[in-house]
Amino acid sequence: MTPLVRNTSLVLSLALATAAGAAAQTPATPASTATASAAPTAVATAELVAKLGSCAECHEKETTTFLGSIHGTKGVACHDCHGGDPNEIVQEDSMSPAKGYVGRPGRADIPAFCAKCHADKKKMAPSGLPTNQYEQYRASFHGKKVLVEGDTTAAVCTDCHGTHDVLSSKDPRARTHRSNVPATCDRCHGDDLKMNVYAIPTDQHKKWKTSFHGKAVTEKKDLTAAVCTDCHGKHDIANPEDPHSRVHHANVVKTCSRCHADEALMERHNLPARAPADYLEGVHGIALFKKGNTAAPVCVTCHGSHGALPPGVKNVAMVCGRCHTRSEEFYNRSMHRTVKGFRGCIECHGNHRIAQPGSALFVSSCIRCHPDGSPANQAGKEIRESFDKASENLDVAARELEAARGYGFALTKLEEALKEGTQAKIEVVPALHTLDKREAEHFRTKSQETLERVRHGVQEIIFRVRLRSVSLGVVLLAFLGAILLFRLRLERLERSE
Amino acid sequence: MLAADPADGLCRRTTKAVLRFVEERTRLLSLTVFLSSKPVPFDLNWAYTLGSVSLFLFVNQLVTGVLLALYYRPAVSEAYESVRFIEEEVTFGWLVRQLHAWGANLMILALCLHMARVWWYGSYKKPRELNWLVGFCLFLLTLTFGFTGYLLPWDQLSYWASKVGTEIPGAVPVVGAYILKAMRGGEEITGATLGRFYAIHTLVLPAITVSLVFIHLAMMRLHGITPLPGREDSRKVPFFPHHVLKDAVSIYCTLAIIYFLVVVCPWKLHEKADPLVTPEGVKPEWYFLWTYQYIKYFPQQMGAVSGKVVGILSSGLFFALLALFPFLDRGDERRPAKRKLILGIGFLALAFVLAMTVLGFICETEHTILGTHFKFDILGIPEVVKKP
Repeated sequence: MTPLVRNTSLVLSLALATAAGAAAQTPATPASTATASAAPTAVATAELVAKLGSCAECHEKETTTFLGSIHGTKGVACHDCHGGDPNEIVQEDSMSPAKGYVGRPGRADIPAFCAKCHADKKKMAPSGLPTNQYEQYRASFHGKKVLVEGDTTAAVCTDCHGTHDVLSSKDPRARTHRSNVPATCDRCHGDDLKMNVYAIPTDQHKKWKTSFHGKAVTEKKDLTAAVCTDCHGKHDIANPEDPHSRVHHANVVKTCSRCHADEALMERHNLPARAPADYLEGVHGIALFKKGNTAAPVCVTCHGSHGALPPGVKNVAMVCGRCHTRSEEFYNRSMHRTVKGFRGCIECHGNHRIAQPGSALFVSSCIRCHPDGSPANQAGKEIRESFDKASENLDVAARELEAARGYGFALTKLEEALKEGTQAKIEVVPALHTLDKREAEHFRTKSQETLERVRHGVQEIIFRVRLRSVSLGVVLLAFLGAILLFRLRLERLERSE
Repeated sequence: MLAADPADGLCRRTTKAVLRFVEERTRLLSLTVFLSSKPVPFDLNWAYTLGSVSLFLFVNQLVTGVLLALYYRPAVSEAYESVRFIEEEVTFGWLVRQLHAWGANLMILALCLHMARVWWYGSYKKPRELNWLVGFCLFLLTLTFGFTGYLLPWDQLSYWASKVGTEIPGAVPVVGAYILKAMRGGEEITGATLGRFYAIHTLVLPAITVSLVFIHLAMMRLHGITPLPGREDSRKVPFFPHHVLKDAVSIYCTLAIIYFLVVVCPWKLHEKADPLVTPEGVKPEWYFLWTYQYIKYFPQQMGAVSGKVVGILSSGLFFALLALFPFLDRGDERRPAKRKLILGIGFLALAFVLAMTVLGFICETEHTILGTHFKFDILGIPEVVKKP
């Protein structure tokens, strides 16, 4: 077969194959319609095949794939990436290093290989693509592994985008299309052998599919729901322990807010868009962002990350109880636990905007269900009264102890007594979730004992201070007497001589 | 007139017999008589009682030290707690500890004043040069007592001050690293340091000091007390009871001062030592403060040697000057007016030490002086700042 005949048949077969493939694989979405219309015509393909020159003659399989890719449709030729001269017919000449032939790059060279064009603003200008991917990749977890540590099992461009079959991420067939992103990531992140090396779990995809986000994407075909790249980023993926990572503990709220604070988007899903703002005003947000308590929970602590789901009514106490273990334990003993429809912790404390808990909750929360004067409401008031009195006792004890510091005495025992009282307060707070009046009363008795012990100790110190002052006067007088006596004796002695 | 009581006679006879028994076997009474009958000039002023005050304070340290040793535990896990126990639980424990702490400071002060008196009146001149050197050694021993005793409460201030203090000899060239390791019993201040400081403080130093005190007193008895300059021919009186009564007055005054300080400004026990938390403004005790401040003014590097080393070695010159005063101030003249050069040198050195001590106190602090708020940097240089 002459080259002309062979090229003609290749063009025809490729045009047919590409058009048929596009028609078969493209769902009827606006995006896919646009892609289908972009499928190469026979004339354009012929032009490109002519441009590919001698490459297409030998690399028929790659050429077939390539012509269907975004690069193929944009007129990029083999030698644009691999170098060489497609006009040379003899292989030694067309693939000669003298002609700039670089062949197949090693995995570690691929990012720089792609960056030759994708970091070039002039080249990318017609397509409007960003040119900072290589820069982002180099600073990413994947990039550092490959380029710095030489670990070529980490992802490079081709692992996510493909090689000769690279498609626009808007193309539903593309590995990087939103609908395909979880599966693309899972190719490596679901591989036990690969992930064991990094001690990364491999069940994220599985969990994601069961999550609210995953179900929306896979079952409802709602592509506005989150996929991997929405939270982790694309070219700039960082280790969650890296403070720059979008999923670092301190950045999670901001990352979730990108969607969950979007009123239009949240309205579509019938979700409140105030949740992130509420969280920031609540105790947990204040603890993390104002007090720097990095142990404070963020969105994923309660909702989960890959398997994110809003906790159901029955699970609320369990979710809160993961940190507030003692409170959960006592709450489970309370009568509220058995009340149908009672939403657990959030009923009194709220959910995202959790206020600093205090005894006032026994009035402000109880009244919502128990009318004023009812036995339950009265019980709440009594608990509050006992708790407030006990707290006041501890405050008075702390103030008296502080005042005693001025005497310069060691206060270890009194500090221990106060510590015991404070410990009793720490213990009674979760215990009050039983709504048992006796718990508050016991705390009141304990705090009274603490106050008495501190008072007694302080009085003893004051007594000792007075005693020492008196002793100072007595001793100084005695010494003065002795000194005078000696002086008199000395003078008498000198006079006698 | 009352008839003699036969029981009284028996008592006197028994006492005499006991004293004779002791005297025949020890000659202790003759020694006491020898010491107490020492003739001293009748016109000695009160400055001449400072030696006795120093001796009394040393005895106070021995007695209170022994009482503290009954409860003190020289181990990292127990030292601080045992001192706290002495302060809070032991009957009069607070008094014993405070007497020991204040006694140590007053003893150093009394020694400084005693030495100043000897220097002012030229009492170290021939034939008393060696006794001055013995006294100088006693002064160094007392400073070592202070240094080793300061760590024992194992609180934050004592721990960090000892850390800074041991680093100073550690900077000496060649042998510094070995000295540091020998002092600390390792690279850092640990239980090993506490153990050796305790042993040195309670066993080694008292033994040497008591021996030197005896030598000092014996030499004083041998040469007699120096009369006031220009009054060499004044009348002599026996040491007991004339001078002893004067000493007693000074000692009782000292006792009154100590008890006043004990009650009004008790020595505070800070937080327990924590090697991971450096407290702010760690400084050595006042008697080491001048050296600590003086070294700061040397640059990091001075030619081939470190500035710190030059500072340490040159501060040693002050001690050398102190020791060699009798050999620099030769001749028989003891009247201060006739020894202007040596007194001038001494006053310059003293003024320098005092200035460094003051700078050491005020450095790294903030004070409001005449309505202006000053912040003193590490070198003690003031900077006007807004009142916090």
